[in-house]
Amino acid sequence: MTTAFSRYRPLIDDWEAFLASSKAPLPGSIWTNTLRMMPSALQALMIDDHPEPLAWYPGAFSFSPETALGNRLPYLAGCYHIQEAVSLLPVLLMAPKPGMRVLDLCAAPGNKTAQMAVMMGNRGTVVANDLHPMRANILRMTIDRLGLLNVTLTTTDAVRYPDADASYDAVLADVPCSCEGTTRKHPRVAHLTSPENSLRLQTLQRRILERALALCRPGGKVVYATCTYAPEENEAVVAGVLEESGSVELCPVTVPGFRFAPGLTRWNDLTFPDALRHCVRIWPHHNDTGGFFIAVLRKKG
Amino acid sequence: MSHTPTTKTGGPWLPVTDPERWFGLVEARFGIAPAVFEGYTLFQPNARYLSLVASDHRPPARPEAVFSGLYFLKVAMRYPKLTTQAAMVFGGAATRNVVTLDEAGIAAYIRRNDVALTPEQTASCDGMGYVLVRYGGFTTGVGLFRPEGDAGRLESLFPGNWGGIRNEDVRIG
Repeated sequence: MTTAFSRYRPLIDDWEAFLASSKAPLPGSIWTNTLRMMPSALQALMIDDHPEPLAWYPGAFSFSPETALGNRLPYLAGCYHIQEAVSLLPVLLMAPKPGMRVLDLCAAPGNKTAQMAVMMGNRGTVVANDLHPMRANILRMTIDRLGLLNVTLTTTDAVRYPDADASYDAVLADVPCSCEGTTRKHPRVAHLTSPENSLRLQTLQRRILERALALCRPGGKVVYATCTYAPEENEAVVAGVLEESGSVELCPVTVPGFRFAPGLTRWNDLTFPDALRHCVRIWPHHNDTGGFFIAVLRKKG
Repeated sequence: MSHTPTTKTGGPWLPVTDPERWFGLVEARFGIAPAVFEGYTLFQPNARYLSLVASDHRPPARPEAVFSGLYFLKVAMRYPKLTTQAAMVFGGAATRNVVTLDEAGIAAYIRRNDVALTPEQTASCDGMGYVLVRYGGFTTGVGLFRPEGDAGRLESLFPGNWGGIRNEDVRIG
């Protein structure tokens, strides 16, 4: 892991803490299905497992890594959903509201789709799309268990998603990536990643982000997210779109109680627009989570 | 009260032309107030089920939807049955034909075994038929109540591998 990620060493404030955290088991985390019960009631149901409320996400709790969360009766009854804590952030920043029309362009397994649907109070429109029909079955189980009444599933290539009625208030582009930030769950990714691989993914990622912007209404929001550290898949993608389109701006981001680093404005011999500092870089040792990258873009009206 | 479909459902799916009939079955059996279903639209995605979706839901015209909303009622049977997922959503609003189980009872129900019910547990039941099953303050699904003497038996209709979990692996406490 040291070798795989050594190129990021100049970006990281505490290299040893980063390495230690990247190898440590990941805490379990759940969020309350508020369509079904209050967070306080869920906390009481789970009290024997010492749920720790996440300060930055109302209704979410963390647990020690060894806690089994997926075989409980309250889970089967849809009282909560299991989702890695750091992956809660893109939808938190997307901030969908009841009655909105939103699109999750690369949705499987559907955790963020479910987050959107519940945050929208089971009203309005959540369109979940994923290229792979088989993965849609997992999403369907989640929808059934949580009782979601505002989700439609489509299975098509995100890059070619039709824009016949491109009027989404918000679009999430949680794109395929090299997954470097998932070493706490999947240690092998550290051995599979490389700058060359990231450059190969960059083309697809940029095309998906461009499609997301095309599908969003003027004034609407597009959230771009990866679970990787590679600037080739993060700032370089966002910068490319910003430089090409005059109708997009990056939004500043704050998440009270959650620590993150700003996006890069320089990487090796590349210089990115100053606005890239508004991006969110999440290192695992800052909040005891996985790694992530998020950019919140607004399509100018 | 009107449940007139207003939602574009896409693809070959047909809006239900007589939603009051179907909502009425559920309202009558479980004592659910009609207002509970306001704001939702029934449609028929296939021959076996009716689905429910938020009335302000606007799926895209293209690409064609694989599914929208939630299966609500299984209609391809002599006595249409509320689905487990719909029971979990609307069970809290039910006022009759509801059975509350203890820990041993819910464990048996989840494992798809019959449960012997006490007279107290059957107090809201008004004869053989579907009942909603509650435990710990939430609704877990549907069962079939069979009266016996002054109490009866609950036949579990809980699905296999619900949520992708093997029924025998579910932890109750």
